[in-house]
Amino acid sequence: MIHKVELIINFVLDSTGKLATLLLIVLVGIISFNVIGRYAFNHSSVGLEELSWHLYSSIFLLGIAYAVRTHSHVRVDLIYESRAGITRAMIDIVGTLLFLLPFTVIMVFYGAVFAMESYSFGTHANSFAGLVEQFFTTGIGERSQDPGGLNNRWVIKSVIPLAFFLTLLSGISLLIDRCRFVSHAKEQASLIIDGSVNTDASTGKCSDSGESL
Amino acid sequence: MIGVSIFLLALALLLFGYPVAFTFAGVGILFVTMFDDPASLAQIPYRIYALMGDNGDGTVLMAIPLFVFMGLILQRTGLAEQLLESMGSLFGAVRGGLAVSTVLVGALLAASTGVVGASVVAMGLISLPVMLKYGYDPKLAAGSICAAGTLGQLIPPSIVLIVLGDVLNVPVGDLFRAALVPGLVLVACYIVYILIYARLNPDATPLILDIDVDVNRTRQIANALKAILPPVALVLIVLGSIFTGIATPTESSALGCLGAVCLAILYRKFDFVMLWDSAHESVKITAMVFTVLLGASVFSMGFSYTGGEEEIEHLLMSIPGEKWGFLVFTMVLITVLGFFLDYIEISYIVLPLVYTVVEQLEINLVWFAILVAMNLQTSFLTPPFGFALFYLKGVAPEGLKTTDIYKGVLPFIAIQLLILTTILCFPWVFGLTSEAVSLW
Repeated sequence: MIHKVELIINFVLDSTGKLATLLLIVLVGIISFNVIGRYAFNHSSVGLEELSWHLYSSIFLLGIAYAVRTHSHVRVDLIYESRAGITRAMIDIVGTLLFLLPFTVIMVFYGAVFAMESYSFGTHANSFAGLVEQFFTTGIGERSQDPGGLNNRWVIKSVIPLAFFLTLLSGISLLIDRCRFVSHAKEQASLIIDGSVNTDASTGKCSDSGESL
Repeated sequence: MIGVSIFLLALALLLFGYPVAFTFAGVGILFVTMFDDPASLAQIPYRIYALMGDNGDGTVLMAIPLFVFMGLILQRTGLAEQLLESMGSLFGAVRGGLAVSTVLVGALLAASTGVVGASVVAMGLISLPVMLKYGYDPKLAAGSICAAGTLGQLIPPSIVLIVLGDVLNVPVGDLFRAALVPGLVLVACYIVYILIYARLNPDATPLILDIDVDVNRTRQIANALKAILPPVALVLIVLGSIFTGIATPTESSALGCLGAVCLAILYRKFDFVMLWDSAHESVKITAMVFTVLLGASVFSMGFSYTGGEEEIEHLLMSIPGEKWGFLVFTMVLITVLGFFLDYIEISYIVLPLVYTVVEQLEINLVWFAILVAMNLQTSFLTPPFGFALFYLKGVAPEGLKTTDIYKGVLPFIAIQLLILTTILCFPWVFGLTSEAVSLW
């Protein structure tokens, strides 16, 4: 059951990573198109310029969760590097509980408040179909202050709570992984004390990522 | 004293090795909830939004993922290998030539890819075995590779300079321009040192005799040009478009990516898997950098709400010697922190603290930024925790001792400190000024 949760989370995170990668490639295209357009055709688009920072922010926000999954976040590894796997796993468990989870929960909450504020700006159509139409025509809520800019600012603002929700998930996945590592290691250790397992098994593999740290 | 204690607590917690960004964010939140109104945490999304680029403020940071992307594409074209091979054959007949060519390649890689780890690893894998095979002193070989590999920190377009520009509110283009001369002077000093060393210790830098010098000389030069010109052209276009104001740093970084793709096609190394992998890697690096930025932003919230900023400012202003006392203190502080912190952490945690003092003392921000960049570069080299040393040790052949690497980088560190001091005392030599730009 827990293993299934972990697998689903990891699948979601991997897809997020792929999406961010795709967005980066698109971003290069859009900025280049805009620059070339400005010089070659004397035409620049405020909408495209805004789209480029929308993409860039989505890349780094969505990347946060993915980087937890791939262990890409920078650590001060002075002590961490030289510790045994179980100590590292404990550091990760405590750190996630104390730092990552509270931070992300707070960010999901206040991020949602922040995005809602932008959404509730101005008038809203009173039917779902009306809202969809409004989205594509005049836009809902806050909009760009520049003429030709993008409507629906709440969309990019919602990426903040979304990104931290994904990071929350990545924290949970990390916790599951590390807890399993610790419990396996403990099991192994008790077996060694019993004398029923030879010592080779104590270095046995417990999780896919626990080893690669 | 809450402000100072939060700082010390954060530093102590960092040592456990939990990711820096979340540690900072967690400590910041802890202090806000304990000593201030927890509702002020609602400000954090606004801070994040300011980084995202609305109002055109945060957009210069957009150049970071793009320059990283450009560097990673170039790295995968086998640029380093080609440069090293052709340069090595070109300078092999000069005493110390292999080390000189390593430094030159390092400078070129710094300007094009700027990925310190990648440069050191590439040169450690290719250049080091060659130098050792021909009987070069392992200390010189290791030192020149580490020193050349870290040039990417200083030579534009460098990520460090973009980050510094963001923290210190200086146009990134100005920083790139200002870093150019010190960077080139540094390269020149490395080369001069190697040539002098070679003259004094001929045994440590043997000539390479089995390269057929006379017959293929023109061909060698042609080959070298073929390897050198395309990346040089790309760098010139990227930097040139920024310096002349044709494109913003962000725009030129995007064009740089396109240029890198063109080079890859030219070298017949392009395929979509390679493009995808480079983008994928860039996303991870970008996320890492920005998460530290976000974490530091939350931390500094807790820090300033609990009065830490005034405390630090008071502390810094009370250092005797005004401007010079402050500068020497800051430089020493950054060097010490550089032993165990990364450049991103130092930039986003320490620099905002000293920023107001820099302004109050009317110190030129561009000059200050160059000093910091130079200092951060040195921290990559300083034993025992310099990153470049780890990277080299990781790929070095068995026989190379860690002490050889440590001893080898010492002269290069000395050169860096010498230039740092020169920039500090005689900024005009490098076309810089120590005075803040006056408004009148």
